[in-house]
Amino acid sequence: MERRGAHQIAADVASGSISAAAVIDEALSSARGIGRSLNAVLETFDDHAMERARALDAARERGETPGPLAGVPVLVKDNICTSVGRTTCASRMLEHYTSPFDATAVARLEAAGAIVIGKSNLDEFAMGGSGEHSAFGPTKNPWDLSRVPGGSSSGSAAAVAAGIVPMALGSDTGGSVRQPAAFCGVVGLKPTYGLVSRLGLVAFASSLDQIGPITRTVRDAALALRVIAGHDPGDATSSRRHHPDPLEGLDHRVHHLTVGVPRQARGEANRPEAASAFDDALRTFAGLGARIVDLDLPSLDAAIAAYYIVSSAEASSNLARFDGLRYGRRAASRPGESVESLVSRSRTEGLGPEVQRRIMLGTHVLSAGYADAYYANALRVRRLLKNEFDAAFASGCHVIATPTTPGAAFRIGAHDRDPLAMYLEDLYTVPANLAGLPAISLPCGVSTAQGSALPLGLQLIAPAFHDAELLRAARMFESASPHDVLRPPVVPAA
Amino acid sequence: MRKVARLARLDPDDARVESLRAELSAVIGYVARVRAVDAAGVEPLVHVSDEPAHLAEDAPGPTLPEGSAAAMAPESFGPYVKVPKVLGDEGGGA
Amino acid sequence: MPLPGIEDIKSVELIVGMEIHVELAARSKMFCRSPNPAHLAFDGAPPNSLVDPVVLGLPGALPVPNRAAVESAVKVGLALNCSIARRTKWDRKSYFYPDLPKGYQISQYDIPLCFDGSVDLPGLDDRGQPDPERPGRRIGIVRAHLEEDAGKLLHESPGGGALDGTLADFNRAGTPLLEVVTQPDFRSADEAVAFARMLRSICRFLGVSECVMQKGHIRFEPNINAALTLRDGRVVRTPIVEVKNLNSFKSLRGAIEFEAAEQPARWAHDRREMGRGTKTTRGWDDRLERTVAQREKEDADDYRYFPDPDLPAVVIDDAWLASIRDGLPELPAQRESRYVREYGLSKKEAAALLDEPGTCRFYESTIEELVPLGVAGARAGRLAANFVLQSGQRRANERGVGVETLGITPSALARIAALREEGRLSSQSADELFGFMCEPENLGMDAAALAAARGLLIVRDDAALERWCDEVIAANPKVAMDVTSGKVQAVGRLVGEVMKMAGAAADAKTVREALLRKLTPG
Repeated sequence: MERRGAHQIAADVASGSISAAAVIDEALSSARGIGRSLNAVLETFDDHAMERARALDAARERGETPGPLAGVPVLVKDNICTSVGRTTCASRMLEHYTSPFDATAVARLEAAGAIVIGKSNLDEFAMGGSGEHSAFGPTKNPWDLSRVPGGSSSGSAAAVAAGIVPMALGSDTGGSVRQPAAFCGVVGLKPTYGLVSRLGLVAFASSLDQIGPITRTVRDAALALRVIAGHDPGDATSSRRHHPDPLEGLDHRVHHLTVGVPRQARGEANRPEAASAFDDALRTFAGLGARIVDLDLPSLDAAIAAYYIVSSAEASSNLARFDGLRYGRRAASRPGESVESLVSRSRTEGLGPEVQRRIMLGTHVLSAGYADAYYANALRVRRLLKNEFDAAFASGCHVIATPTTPGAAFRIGAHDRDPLAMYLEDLYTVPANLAGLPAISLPCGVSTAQGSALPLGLQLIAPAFHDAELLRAARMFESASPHDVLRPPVVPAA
Repeated sequence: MRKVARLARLDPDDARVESLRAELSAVIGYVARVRAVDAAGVEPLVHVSDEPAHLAEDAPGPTLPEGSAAAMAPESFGPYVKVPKVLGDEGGGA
Repeated sequence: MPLPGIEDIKSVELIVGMEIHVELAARSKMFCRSPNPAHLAFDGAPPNSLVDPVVLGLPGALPVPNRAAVESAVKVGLALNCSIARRTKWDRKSYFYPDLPKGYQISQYDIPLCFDGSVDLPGLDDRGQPDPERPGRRIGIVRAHLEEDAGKLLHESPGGGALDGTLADFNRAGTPLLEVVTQPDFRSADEAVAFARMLRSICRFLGVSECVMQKGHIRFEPNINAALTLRDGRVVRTPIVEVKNLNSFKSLRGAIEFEAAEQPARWAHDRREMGRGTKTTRGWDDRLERTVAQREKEDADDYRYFPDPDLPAVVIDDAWLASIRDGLPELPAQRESRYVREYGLSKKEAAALLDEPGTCRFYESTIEELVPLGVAGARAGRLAANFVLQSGQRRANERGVGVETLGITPSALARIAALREEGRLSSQSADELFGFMCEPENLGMDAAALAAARGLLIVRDDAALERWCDEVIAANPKVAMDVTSGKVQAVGRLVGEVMKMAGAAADAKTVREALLRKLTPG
């Protein structure tokens, strides 16, 4: 059961061949078991989820039409607000915080019949690329428990890979859906900026953040996107542009598919296993009749720098609200203490080191005397990068391909002493966020170069609002590749 | 760095300050490469889409249930949120 | 050689610019749909009852701008003769303070919604009142932009009494705020106050804000310095002092006059001149009637402005701008000129009618209602003005309300005015009838019918009139003789006697004419 796709589960529940209650019961059991031993799941909504499952079964028996995700168990990254349970962002600052409202994406999933069974672990406030920066302990990669699952949507990716749920919501600011998907051997989609509402997503970098699904198949990713995408008047950055139905024609190949490959994607940053998996992937496309063209995107060299400036600047501002005054963790009061001192202590105690680093960096690059040199220039690089992407697509590419990451999952603790080294791993994923383009990571191989079997990901990027076409190209690859549904070794329950 | 920390309302202890300084130096040293990019005449890009803002109609909507602000706050006084005594006038910077 | 002191100052020129914050009376807040306490419907709501996730800065909350607030701002900009930015943006102004939930204020930094405007202040007399004989001054408007207000902090327990902390009420957090910034064009406290009154009147007439002073709907921050011309011919400028958060004309005047007197003395003492980093902020102490230094804030000025990534550009297209422009009501200054020109009112009368938008609306509605009754043009304006300013204002003052809330409708007043014009009501009866028509039980009644029922209508009974005149003349032979021999004023006493006999059924003018006809030959 755990290996069935969301699409299949919904069909089975709708037809009555399986009950939502049975599906949810099993998923909850996994979440409490494997989910906890991987430290992928922070909280399960046992009562709420079973109640909803039973209500769904009752509705179906009454003859009501079930939604497209009826009975599908879903995990939600804990930086996405749910009115049930807590929304901690994996931070001590919000350890006991309960949100009075649901994120729009969550509400849409539930309206489609999906059942949120709990919240998944993440790098604190979505800042990180490994899953090690959670205040509640690191998440482990189900493929190798000594390695990171990637981040920041670490729990969501690990849970889907381990078969706990077929679908989980993550958020992607610089690769936080795609990179863990690659490390865990599953599919991770970052939609076009503005396609999915950010209302209820705890903001990290507002101009870069998007909620995206992590699934085992491209079809499930398309199904999720169809449910959560679309204009939300509660989010001023939500697009009103018409976009094609991502499920329609999913299995239809893209005619004369042209895949652009930037020369920067084959650089020295790539470790051998990533380089060879990427070459294999390109051969697969060629075998499908796709045309592979070389591209030059010079601004990619400065993309990580631009990304860390912009995202940290926005983060330093978005996290200023966490002062312990109106909600969240407030430090124990000291007599005669000023507000300023209390706020500083609350924030220093409540926010983890990576978060503090980014806030400091962000504050610095916006401060008087530096904003022009850093922040403004980073935004100029951003425009250059976007222009280069636009030009590449205009010249005939349907999608642009790169490895998702320069290598497979690294060991837990590998980058402890060197935050910068961690940042450099993001080189392939940040450009799509900077340019607002849809991008997907697909499993494209398993490497044993480092001892254990570790998955690798192929990234495809498409023009803005071409998510449906991106998914079709992804589906093409998936159907032709031998890696369509990877299974990690079975993880013993705790 | 002390100045930045104060602006950010962060107060790392002495043990942390040194390693933080080193980490930040390394990162700032790296991200400074944006200054070397030839971007003369290029306008900074904040919003990837040029769709203008959709403005809301002026219809009052639901509020949080009464007492919510006090209930959420770590310290409250009746319906108010309570904070340490603030000196000076209203509107710190407005 | 002694340093220059106060005796070396030959002359002082006061230089004042102002920043004015106006709370807009949209029904909901600037960036969310929480009800807005600056709107009458939600005024006085219990603390922390007008809050939602956006107001409190909860995780995951997002701002969405209020269209009506943008329109209101454009209206004020147009009234101030500003250019309107067709594409504008929002910026974050970052600082930490307990009344600022997000740790930043959404405002506008480098592309304000309205800019480069001006307003012509009339010349003022020595008491600060408009004087057409004196030259006016053009006041430059640098900008008018939108932002959100912060919450309120209480430093004492609401029941009174000390508190070991500070209390925060976020009802006001997120209220739409229009910030108007002028050039430093004012040269006196009178001018600054006149402008403040004018802006308040404009806002009230446009219907964008109630501008109730006591509720803090309009707050003034003058920036004051002086150019001191020394005896040796040099001109030194004193450092600019910004006085924060004044919410009455009295305190505005007081602060400027205090600084005008203090700054030369301060300069003589410390010789500090205007320059980078010399601007200071002061508060106003109402009790001591002086400005007071405020605590220096460290790092106060690094607001780290950057464009708000949650809010795309606001576009004001041709159609929208045109509809706002077309929908602009006539402004007070234009109305005043029109009343003087078309109705022959004095400036003072016109100003009194324009003091409150409600009174003005009532007045103009009354004029409209007079037209179908056969009274139009200048006569209608004159008549309506008389009634509103006399019968109306007197009662309004007694009750402490506006004329428009006395209970009498413009249509009823028009009826009364028409009857008076026709000579069917004496001026005293007209006033009495006005009073009756304010009473709730008479709402909807026909004024003429009520007048008749109460015996207020002048009965055109010429025979009776002749009889009364003859009787009174007969009873007052000496007075009658005075009138006949030329002392025309003496007829007044006889008029009074006839009026007593006639009651309401005669009007003084007609009686006087009748008596004079009888007593003066030819």
